[in-house]
Amino acid sequence: MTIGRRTFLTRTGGLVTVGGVAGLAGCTGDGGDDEDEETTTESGGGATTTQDGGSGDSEDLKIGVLLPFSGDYAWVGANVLPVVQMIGEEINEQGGIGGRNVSVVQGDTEASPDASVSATNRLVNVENVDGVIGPTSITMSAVIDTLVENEVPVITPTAGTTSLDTRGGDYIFRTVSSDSLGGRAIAKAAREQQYNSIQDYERMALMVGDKEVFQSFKEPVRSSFEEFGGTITTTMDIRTGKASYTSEVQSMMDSDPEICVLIASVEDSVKITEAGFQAGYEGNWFATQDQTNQDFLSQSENQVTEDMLGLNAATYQPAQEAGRLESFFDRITEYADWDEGGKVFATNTYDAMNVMGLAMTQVAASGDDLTGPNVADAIHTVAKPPEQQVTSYTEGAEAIADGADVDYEGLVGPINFDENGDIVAPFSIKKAEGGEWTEAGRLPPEAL
Amino acid sequence: MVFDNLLQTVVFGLIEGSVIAVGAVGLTLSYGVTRFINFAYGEFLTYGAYLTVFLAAGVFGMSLPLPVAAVVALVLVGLLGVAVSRVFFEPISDRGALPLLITSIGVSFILRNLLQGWVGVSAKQLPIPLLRRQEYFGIRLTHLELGVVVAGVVTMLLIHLLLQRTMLGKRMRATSGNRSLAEVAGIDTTDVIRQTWFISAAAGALSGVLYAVLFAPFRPGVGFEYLIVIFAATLLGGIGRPYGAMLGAFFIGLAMNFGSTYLSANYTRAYAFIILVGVLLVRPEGIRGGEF
Repeated sequence: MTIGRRTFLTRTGGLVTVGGVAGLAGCTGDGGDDEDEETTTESGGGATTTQDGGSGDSEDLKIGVLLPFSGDYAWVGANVLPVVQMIGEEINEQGGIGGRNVSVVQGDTEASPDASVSATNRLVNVENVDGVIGPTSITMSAVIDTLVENEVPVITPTAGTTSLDTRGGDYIFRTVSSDSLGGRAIAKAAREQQYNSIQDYERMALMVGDKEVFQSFKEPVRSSFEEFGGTITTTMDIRTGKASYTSEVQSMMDSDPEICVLIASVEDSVKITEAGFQAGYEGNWFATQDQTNQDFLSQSENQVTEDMLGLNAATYQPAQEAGRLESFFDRITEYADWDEGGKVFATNTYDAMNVMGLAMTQVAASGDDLTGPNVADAIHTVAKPPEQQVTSYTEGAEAIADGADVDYEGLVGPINFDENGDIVAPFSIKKAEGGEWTEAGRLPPEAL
Repeated sequence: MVFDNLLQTVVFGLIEGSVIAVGAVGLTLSYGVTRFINFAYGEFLTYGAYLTVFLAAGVFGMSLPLPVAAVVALVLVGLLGVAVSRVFFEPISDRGALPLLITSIGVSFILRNLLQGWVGVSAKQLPIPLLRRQEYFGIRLTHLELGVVVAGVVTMLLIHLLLQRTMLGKRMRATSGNRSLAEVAGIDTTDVIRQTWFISAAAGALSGVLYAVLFAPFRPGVGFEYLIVIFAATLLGGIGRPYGAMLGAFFIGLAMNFGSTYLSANYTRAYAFIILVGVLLVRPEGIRGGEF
């Protein structure tokens, strides 16, 4: 098979021409560029925006969703994005905010600090987002300064990291409990039988993965357990992603604990609990929110996980009694075609996005510019009692239009941000029985 | 207590050593006749483990008992090895070791990403029961761990018999010793090389299956990541020398487990790296010089 010189030249010539045209197309007009940008962003997560086709991009209020959409933590983005889009559509159906529609843009952090920095720079400098939902604990410390310096209001439904305990409240807020509360809840629930339904655990070991997202839990659990009168037998940092944890489990067992708190990824936790079973570990395990899900139990054998304890965010009683939780689940399962509404972070996102929308509406209603500082200030006011209580964006926007001062009441809790932008919410202590998580006890924030 | 722990660590080292040994022997056999380090070898481990999972779980329409699934997987990966060598390596076999080595890295990427595209990145495990360790003469181990050691030892014996007692083994040794001379003596070396590829890839697959028995769950990157451990054993034994590879494998297995137990568990594979570097610096010909 030979290619003649003429054919060869024609072909390469053709290629050059195509390349040249593409190059030129890239240079034409800003408007075209913007649209390209928009398309690329969305194809990442295979999602659609809520923007109205008629209105121009530049006039839209942009909400950036800064979360992992690919990699091991892609499920976080997948759980959060549809809820953001659903509320975005609700806002647009109400005529938008100050006459402007809301559109949603994605920034994929890949759950890696490096990728999160470039995703954040793109959202802030290229997309010029007016608010951000996200990020997770894994990437929070990598991007927090960029977001604050650029005065972008951020409400994260996913970052429990203790590094936010003393930061935030100016531009950074969260609708998820801090890990320091979560850690305290684990310590309390392990220490007192009334919360775990098994026994008062006295001796506790800790096995903690060597990533920020896991390390964040370590100190709260350790110090609280000692404060509640327990003994820590050993605190081990373990390397994530190892093939086997036989040696680690052996040293944990050598310290003779009654319960071991396991703060690690689902996959590593499966390996560790199985290694414990093989080695004849007699004590119990206590897992964090990361493993207290069906995913973990379905990867493990029931004989390994039986009676294991886990921590979860509890349903907020008033929201459940009023049927708001149920109606949210119905709405999101239909909107996003999910098989269950109670996915991790879904309710937190509902609250985050409602507060963001209401804050912007509040700013628009008072005739101010929708700048970062104004919106961030309003986030405090729309969630603060004692004025008219509202539970959804539509209800809140109507109240604001009537001139009322609203107090948003959420699905995960009353959503009253403290000076650091944190909330308190109740915890639920789960126990694994026959491959299912059942509720063993409930820990109100007051008990901590 | 201290002695118990020591004994237990030795046992764990030997168990993992068996997995490494099977892999190292396979790698070193193919090096012996092809004279290049095959970076795609790790994928044979991965494919062995994954095919066994799928054959046992009925992904291909039938669910075989685990041992049968493993044997079928071994044969399939053996054939894959032959196919890979014919498509990628035979056409450039006369270009020297470096192009072959670089090609093998490319092949490894292709195979790994094909698998990843097909099955995704989520973790898988073999459908085997989880057992508690039982005590035999002060040593604690499960039946499965015992099985891994037995499988390792039997494989070593079979390879030994193959090399010493069969015509194929003699041809392999002849080809490895001097390919031109072997050809002059009337040996169809191309054929020998293909047969060696089959055995080598199948040994890799078996190593992958044994790995999967011990260390579940696993992901598509598993073989490539474990390759460095196998390299360390192979080099330690003197590359191209099957008996050296066996010895090197048990040494690496012991080193990794002793390091994890008595130094720090966070650096398990680093101990294999340290030995690898040490061998290259001090004794590049390996602990076992001499013949194939």
